[in-house]
Order: sequence, then C-alpha cells, then structure tokens
Amino acid sequence: MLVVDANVIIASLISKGTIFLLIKQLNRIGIRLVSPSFLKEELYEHFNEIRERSGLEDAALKYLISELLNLIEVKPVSQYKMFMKEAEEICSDKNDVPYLALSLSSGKAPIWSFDKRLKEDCGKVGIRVISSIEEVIRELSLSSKL
Amino acid sequence: MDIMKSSQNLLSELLIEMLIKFSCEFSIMEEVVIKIEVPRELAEEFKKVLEQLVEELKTRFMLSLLRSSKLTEDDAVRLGEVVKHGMAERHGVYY
Repeated sequence: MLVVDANVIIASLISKGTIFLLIKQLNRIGIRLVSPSFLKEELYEHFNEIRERSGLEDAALKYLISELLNLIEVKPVSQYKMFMKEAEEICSDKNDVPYLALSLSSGKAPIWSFDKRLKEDCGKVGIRVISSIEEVIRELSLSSKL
Repeated sequence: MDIMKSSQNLLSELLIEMLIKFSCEFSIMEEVVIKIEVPRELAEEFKKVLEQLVEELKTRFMLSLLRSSKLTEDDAVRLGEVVKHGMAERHGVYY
C-alpha cells in the first residue's frame, strides 16, 4: 500500500506523462494506491484553477481526473480518525495531518509525496516518504521481483 | 489467428475514433458496447486480448490528451498545496 499525496496526483497532469504512467504501472502490479478522504471533492473544487493552469480542455481534464480517481482508493475518515491527534502532534504543516494519520492507521505505510516538510516530519517517526521518480521506479522493480 | 488480428486492428481503429469523438463531446460518461462474433472456443482468449488492447488504448489516449498540458512542476506543488489545504479543512484540522 502506498499513500499518495495530492501533489503527486496534480503532477500526473504534467505533459511528460511520467507520473501518470507510474501510477498506472503501480496499479497494474497490484500496489494499492490510497488517499485520505475528500480528494475528489477538492480536485473538483479547484477544477477551474487546474484547467486554467494546464490549458487542458474541460472534457479532457474531467476525463483524466476521473481515470486517475479510478486508480486511487479514497479511504473513509472513520478508518484513520483515531490517528488524527497523533498525526497533528507530529506534523509541522496541518495540511499533512490526514496523510500521516492514514499512514499510521495502515502500519506506517509509505507515502509518495513531493513535500519536503512532510518527508522531514515522517522521518522522525519512521515513515518512509518516496519523493523522486527514481525511488518509485526502484519500488516498482522491487515489487515486480516479489 | 489472422481473423483475430484483423478484427483487433479494426476494433482498435473503431475505438480510437470513438474515444476521440466522445472526448470532445461528452459531459456524461457513456458505456460503448460493440458486438463482435468470434468462435466460441476462442472467445476467452479474444476477451483477454481485447481487455489488454482497450487498456493500452486508454493509456495512449490519456497520454495524447496530456501532451497539450502546460502545467509545470511548480504549478503542481502549488495546486497540490491548495487541494491538501481543502482536504485538511474538511477533516476539521483547522478548527
């Protein structure tokens, strides 16, 4: 299981398509990609901003987001609610709290994120944060060997 | 097997055409059903190849859509923060 940060999901909309392909590949080999609740709501809440920055057509962006959301399992708050307090004590950025709580609830599952502060905070409690494409590829090759 | 290959090519063209068409026009997702007749003994094998083909087509289609994206890594980090902030708010972290 890999907890996926929203910044990775947005970065998968970059034209190179590398992150998008990695998400597809991880999914294909059976690695469960998970996110805290409200990911879908917030992606659509900021849909216009994402569309303006990306310059993608409305229909194209809707289609891409819906396909991405099919690859990522959004966990209900009830599943990690009991770890929110502990996560709040660890996180220096409140925005990271749901991610850390979800990881803690899943036995310190690794997190895929480009957030440096989250990586530092997670390091203090032994949660691995994958932050580069190279690390994800390494993870992929390890999983394929299993 | 030749029949299967030519059906596969034909189907691939059809699907590309349909995917392009509905990507430009859709507002509600719609299921596309195509009926193809294959010998019963080959049906399972055909289905497997078809599923792989559709998956590959979808990936290629999405990559071609992504090609026109002007999003930068900085945009992704900034927009990611905005989305994460909203998610944290909905979790009650800011109250």
